[in-house]
Parts: sequence; structure tokens; C-alpha cells
Amino acid sequence: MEGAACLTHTFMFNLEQSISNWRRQMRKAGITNREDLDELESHLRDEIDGQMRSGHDEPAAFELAMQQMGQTGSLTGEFRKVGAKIHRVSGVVTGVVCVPLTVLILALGVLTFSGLGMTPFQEILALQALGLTLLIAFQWRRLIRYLPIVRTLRGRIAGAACANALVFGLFNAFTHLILPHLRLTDEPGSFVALFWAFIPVAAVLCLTHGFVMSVAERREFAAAMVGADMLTEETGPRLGTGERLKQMVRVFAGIPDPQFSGPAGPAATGAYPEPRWATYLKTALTAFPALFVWLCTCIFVLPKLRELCLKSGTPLFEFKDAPVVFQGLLFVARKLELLTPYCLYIGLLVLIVLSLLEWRSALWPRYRRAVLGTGIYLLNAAVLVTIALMVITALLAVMNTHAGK
Amino acid sequence: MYSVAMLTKELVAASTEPLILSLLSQGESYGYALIQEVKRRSDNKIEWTDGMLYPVLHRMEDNGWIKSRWVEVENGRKRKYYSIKKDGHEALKEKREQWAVLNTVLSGLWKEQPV
Repeated sequence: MEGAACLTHTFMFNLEQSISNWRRQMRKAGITNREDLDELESHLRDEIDGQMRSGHDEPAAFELAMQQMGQTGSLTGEFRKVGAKIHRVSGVVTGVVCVPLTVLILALGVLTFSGLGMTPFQEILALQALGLTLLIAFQWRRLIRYLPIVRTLRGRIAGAACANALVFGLFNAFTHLILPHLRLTDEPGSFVALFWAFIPVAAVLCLTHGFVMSVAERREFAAAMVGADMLTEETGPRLGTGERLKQMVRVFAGIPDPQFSGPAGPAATGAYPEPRWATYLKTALTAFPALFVWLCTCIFVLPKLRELCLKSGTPLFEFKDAPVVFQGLLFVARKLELLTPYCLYIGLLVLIVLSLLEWRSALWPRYRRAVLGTGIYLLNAAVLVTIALMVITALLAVMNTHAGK
Repeated sequence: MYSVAMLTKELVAASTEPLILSLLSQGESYGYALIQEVKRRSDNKIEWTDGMLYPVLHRMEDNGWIKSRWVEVENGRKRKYYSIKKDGHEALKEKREQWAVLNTVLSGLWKEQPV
């Protein structure tokens, strides 16, 4: 019976799976550097070979080798001490180089667009195109793992070449066939349209660079994204593109992944933090409708409303005998109207502050979701209140106009 | 890193870097081999906790004493080999002098007071 049990145990034991699980545990414990894990794994395999040469079977050799490696906590601590210096240096380089460079590009963009005589709306559109292109340039790495994998180099190069040719073809078709017919009466308008046409080109160029990578290169590339929010091969079973996309949707929707929760569920263990990308994406998507509506209101509605108020003698966002709560709402509307011409600078400032918080603050990840959620709620509320007050003002102005007649 | 037999963990910790530098001065090697060599030479009196060797090696690499390279070995496995650099030789020389001083003083004292 004992022999049968031992045989069963040996039969069920899968060394590669055990090493893979061990590696996953090391990564979860905090040893995230790919090279460190490779080195430790190499050592573990040497130790297992040594134990098996001494006469132990695979399961026993694996257990003994794991014991020889030492306590995970102590190991992680020691690696962290060594790694902290390297991460500090790379963090400083990122902060010193990338952040100012981004700010400089955006600032130059603002100056250039102002010099071209663009309208505020065109400036905003052009800056958005610039911002999106920069975002693609900095963040395209995170999307590589979702690209389909082609095993042969020839296939990958052919696929990348086709994608690039298609995008360049579309870009040329847009500039030569569509742009002249857009009836954009001014040059800046054409410039803005051209800027937006660059975005798919930038995206395809970046992604085809990742598409051409071999499987091993891609794994190393993904593993180098330390602190990556998405699940990687190190922390879970190898997933296909479809599975990864499903996982991405689940994470975005806030549906806990049972794989990472304790027996009582993720809420009980507190083991399910929302990834950074999901928080920022939700924030952007939630802010976009309010910002778009407010933008259109400022461009198309507000000038007309001001004209109407002037003709009828109705003050805009000023009601002397209104209750205190109403006065508060009017205050919000006035401030929103006042700050709108500076929205680009405010947006830049917000981006800088968020970047600094992400870079330097250890507490920020804990409060990120709450702060951004509150901010977006307040923004949406302010826009809604202001538009409501504009409607009320317009009605009053019309009534005053009729009363005046 | 801690000792099993006679040496205290402080002594093992203090001797780790000179041991590694001395072994690497004899030729390129890798982590597992370094541990086995130390065990063999010390007759199993010095046993390093395997995983803890690597942060030490990385620290020494950051200091510029040693360098590393990945080598593909049998079965497509990769192994990281370490070799000593010029600064490492200088550091080893310094540590040899320090241990020699310690050895001289202790030997002299123990000669005067045999156990």
C-alpha cells in the first residue's frame, strides 16, 4: 500500500509544474526581476539534480532543494535591498527624462498651435491628438502581450509589413483623397485633422515592433514591466489572447478573479486591488462625456446665451435673491466658466501631479481610485449644474425679452 | 546566511565576500558551484543558505568587483557565470590584508595562552 501510495505520489508529481508554481510564489512574494528568478531557478534545478544524484526521487529532491533555498521572506528582503537601488536609479531616470520631456512636448504644442491662429476648440483637439500619440508611445508596451503570437520570424515580419503598408496606405488616402474634401476653411483645421490621422500610424508602428518580437523576447519584455497590472505568465497559467482579453474586461469591470482570492473571497482577504490602468481608463471614460458636453456647450451654446442675456438684460449666473444653496451652485457655474479658457493648463497640471504621485507616493495606489472617482464625480456634477443653470438663465432671458416687448 | 557547525552567522557573513572573491580569482564560476566548493573546502562546516548567496553576488556586481554573463548549458538551460574584475582583485587584496592582520593578532594571543 505504501509503495502504491509512493508510486502514485511520484506519478502525480510534475517537476516542471512544481518549479513553475515555485517561481510564481517567488514573484508574488516580491522577487519580480526576471533575471533574478531565472538565476534562482537555475540554482534550484542544479540543486534538484544534485539531490537526485544522491539517490532521492524527484519529489523529495524538489522539497530538499526548496528547503536549501531558504525562507522566502528573508530572500525577498535581501533581493529588495539590492533591487531598491536599481529601481531608484531607473525611477529617477524616468522622472528626470520622461516627465519633463512630455511636459516640454505638450508645452511646445500649445505654443505652436497658438501661433497658428487656431481656435480654442482646434487647439484642444490638436493637443488631444498630441497627448494620445505620446500615450501610445509610452504605454504601447502594455499591449504587446495581447497581440497574437506568430511562431515563425518570416510570418511576423510579413504581418508587420502588411499592417504598416495598410496604415501608410490609409494615411496617404486620407491626406490626398479625403482631406481636400473636408471643407476645412482654415489651415489650422486641416492641421488638426492631419494630427489625428497620425495616431493610428503611431499605434501601428509601435505595435508592429512588438508583433515582430519572438515569443521569448516578448516574455522578457512583458516580465520587464515590473509592477505591471495585468496578469503575466509568471503569476498565472499561460493564457491565450482571447483569455487575456476576457481577463482584461473582468479586471476593468471590477469582477474579482477567484484565482487570486482566499477561500472567503477577495473582499475578505483584501487581495484584489484594482490595477492602475483600469482606474485611469475608467476615469478617462467617465470624464470624457462631461468634458465633451461642456466643450460643445462652451463653443456653441455659451456665446449665444451671453448674447441673449445681454439683449434681455438678464445676468448670467447671477441671481441676487436666490437661496443659499442656489448661490452655491451659481458660484460653481461661475468658476467653471472662468476656468474653461485655462482648461489645457489645468489639465497639464493635473497630469503632472498624477505623474508625481504615481512616481513618489507609496500611499497613492491605496487612495487612487477614491480620489479619482471623487474628482470625476465633482467634475460631472459641476458640468451638470452649470448646464442646468444655463437652461434656467436662457428661460429667464426669453421671459424677460417677451416682458420687455 | 547562517552557519550550521562551528562558525557563527556573523563570522560566516563577514567571510562571504572574501570567500567569493577568492574562489572567483581562481576562475569563472556560478552560484551553485560556489556553494558546493565552500562546503567541500570547509568540510561542511560552512553552509550558506543557497538563495541568500545571490543578493550578495548582485551587491558585489553593483560594487564593480565582479561581472556576470549568461551561458547556455546542457538541455538549453542557462546559467549565470561570475568572474572577478580588476576592482575585485583590489578588494580581495585589501580583505586579505585585513584577515591577515586579524590572523596575526589572534594567533599571537593564542600562542601566549594555549587552550
